[in-house]
Amino acid sequence: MLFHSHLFLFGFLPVVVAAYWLLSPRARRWWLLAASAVFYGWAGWRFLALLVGMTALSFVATKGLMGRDSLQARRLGLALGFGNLVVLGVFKYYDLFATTLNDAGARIGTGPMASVLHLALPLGISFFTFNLLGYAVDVYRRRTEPARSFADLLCYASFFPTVTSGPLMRYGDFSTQMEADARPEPDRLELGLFNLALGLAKKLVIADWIGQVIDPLWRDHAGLGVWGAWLAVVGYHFRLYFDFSGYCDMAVGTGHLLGIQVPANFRAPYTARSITEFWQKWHITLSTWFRDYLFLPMSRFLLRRARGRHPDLTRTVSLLFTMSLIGFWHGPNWTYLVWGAYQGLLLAIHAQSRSRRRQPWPAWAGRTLTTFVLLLGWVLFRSGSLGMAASLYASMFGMKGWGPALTSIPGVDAGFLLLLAGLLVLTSLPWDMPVLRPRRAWGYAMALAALLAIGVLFVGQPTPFLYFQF
Amino acid sequence: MDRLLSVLEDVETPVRLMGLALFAFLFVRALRTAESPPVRSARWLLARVGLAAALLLFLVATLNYLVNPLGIYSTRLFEPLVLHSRTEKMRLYRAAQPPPEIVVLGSSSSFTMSPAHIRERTGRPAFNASLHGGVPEDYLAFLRYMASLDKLPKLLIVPMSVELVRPNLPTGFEPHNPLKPYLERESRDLLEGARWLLTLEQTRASLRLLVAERKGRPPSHYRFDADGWGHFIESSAPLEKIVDAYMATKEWGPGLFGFRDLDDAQISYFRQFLTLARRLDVKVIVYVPPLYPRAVAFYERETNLPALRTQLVEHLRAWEAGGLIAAVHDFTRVESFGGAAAEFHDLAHPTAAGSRRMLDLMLLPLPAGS
Repeated sequence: MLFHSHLFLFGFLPVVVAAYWLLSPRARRWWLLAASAVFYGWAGWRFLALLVGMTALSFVATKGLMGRDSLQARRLGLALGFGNLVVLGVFKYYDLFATTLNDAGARIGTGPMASVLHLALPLGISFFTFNLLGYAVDVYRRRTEPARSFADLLCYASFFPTVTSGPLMRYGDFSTQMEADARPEPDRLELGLFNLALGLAKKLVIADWIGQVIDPLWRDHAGLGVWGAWLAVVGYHFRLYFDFSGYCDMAVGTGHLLGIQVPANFRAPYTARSITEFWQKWHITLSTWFRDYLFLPMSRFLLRRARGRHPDLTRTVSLLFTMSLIGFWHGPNWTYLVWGAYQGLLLAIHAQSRSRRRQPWPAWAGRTLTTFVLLLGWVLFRSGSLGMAASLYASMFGMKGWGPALTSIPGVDAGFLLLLAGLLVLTSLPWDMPVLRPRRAWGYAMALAALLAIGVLFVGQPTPFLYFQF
Repeated sequence: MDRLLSVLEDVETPVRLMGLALFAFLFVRALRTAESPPVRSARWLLARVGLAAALLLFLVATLNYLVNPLGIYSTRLFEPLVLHSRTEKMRLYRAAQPPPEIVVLGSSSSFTMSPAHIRERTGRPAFNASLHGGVPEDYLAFLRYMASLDKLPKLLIVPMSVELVRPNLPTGFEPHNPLKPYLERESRDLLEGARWLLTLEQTRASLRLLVAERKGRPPSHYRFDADGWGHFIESSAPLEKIVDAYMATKEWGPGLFGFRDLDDAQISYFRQFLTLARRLDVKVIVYVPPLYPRAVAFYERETNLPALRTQLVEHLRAWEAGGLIAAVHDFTRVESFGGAAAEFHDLAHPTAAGSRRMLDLMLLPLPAGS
């Protein structure tokens, strides 16, 4: 089920929220569990079974093994918990490796070496797998208590506002809120409505408009000139942010309606003056997950092995490895891996230069440079292959000529240019949704109602959120 | 006034810009309240936003219901702006009396298959249920629709061509598809109609219809009789020029048959359609519709059409041998049914005269006047 569908907005959500607050706190968990099952199972019930199975594995690993005092049992539990990573690997990456192996085999004349499975990717598997992995590690490190019951853990793993595309949540944060005897607070409901309305507009009014213009450019990328290529990349820069942050705002809004604080994923990322700052503001829950569960432990381990020597090298290796994995997390395509490695390299270069320079760059120069390197990165991120990315770079840097003027590209009119200019201004503002509160005034209320109504009108022909593919 | 009318004719961009402006206003103004404590309660805002949004959506839904630009609802204050063949054919079929015994399914290429001619030829009531952009999934859905009305014919005549089972098949000719629930085997007619009250597509169409009522309506490309027969509005342009214009489009250019394999999904729908027809004891005659002779020569020379047609005919013959199809007629070339190049409206739509010739051949086994 999509957030931006009539069914969700006028059927599922009002019924779920109303019944949730009418029920006793004890019954709410079961109601939420049922609602999440319907939400996730709407697209197909067989993947719901997979979600339940992976949660069961985590439950057995944490409650059954890590709850014991024996270190051996706890380590075994952790290993079992990481079994979910194998499931993710099979569904998401196996075919890529099999195809690559077979291609290599064909070149050296051995023929196919592995069969390609063509498994459908379960919706949200990357997100709920990482939630469950984080939970297992937290229990192992004794930072959180194991879930009291399987239903508690399943409620967390399948929580419908976040199950398909995040934001990633820590089990401890979720369970504390679920256990609290919360009452419906008008302030939370108000924030929920505000986030839903603005998220809907970000996705349907802004991101989908950009998509209508730039999708044909990406599809026919081979013939693009300078203008077309830059428009495709700059358009994608804005579209990705408004699409994904729109989704996250709706997830946060839905969470508020249920009295659950879902963590923020964005904090004005395009105002970043360096790539390091960008990663503190972009897809925050994913980057902090990798920081806490991979980068920091790995850095500590390497430093220990090097006996405290070569800290710069240790940091660079950890950054490159972590960011490559973040890239690869997005999908079974080598372009994501290269994109991740590129981000890691940029972070390493920035960290290195920061440790040597006293004066930081002027803000405008930092922002311009950061935007430029981000745009180059989005080419890799959006391209279906490295060849396609190379073709786009060639177009961007004039190797295929200037191409048709911007205004002769279908869909580019005064309205669209106004949109891009408006987005440039809006994304330059140093604040983002987490710090915003609706103004309780007549004009503001009417504007919010009008935006909500406009958003609903655009719901008719929904396109899926970009991050559903990850 | 003219300026306002031209804005109303296509409101998508203005509405998007208004949405952007509202979003910017709400986004920028929301920060200031974080600095100063609110004087009103959250309940105050929730009530006003909820009521105002509900009122706005009610107004839009009322406009769409009353204007009914796509002919979805029972209101008939205006003639629908766009003739939605699916909505219209479903309505006409429901009303058809006596219940048709012979039904023509298909796409716009079979609009001119005349039910009156079939009736004259066989003495049996007939109906033309061809749909704009109709493909095998529509055949299956329409057959289920007929079954749901308990108004099944005894014989179905359906076109099947490579164009209908190509992988790059364009869809969405008609945004509102009331046959969709029958394809998904779910009955959500009422919900679907209600959902469409709140879509931009229909709101845009409502406004366009109102503007057209004021400025004068453009002529419709075709219209339907009560028995579903489609009349094309004759063009004054020479046929050769119309065909050239068709072949210059991306859709009908060399890319039309630039693929290697037929679309599995549509083949599967066609097979499901045939299986269901047999289960319901409805006979099916399949024909491969004709194309303008010069276009056939071009596609056979420049594209993969011959190999694809062989694939398709193999499927059809296998289904015929399996008893799913009563007869197969290949009318790709006009000579096969005694037609002529002049008997086309354009590249893919035969005239009523051409369609009559094909019907005569297909109905040959049925005794006239029986």
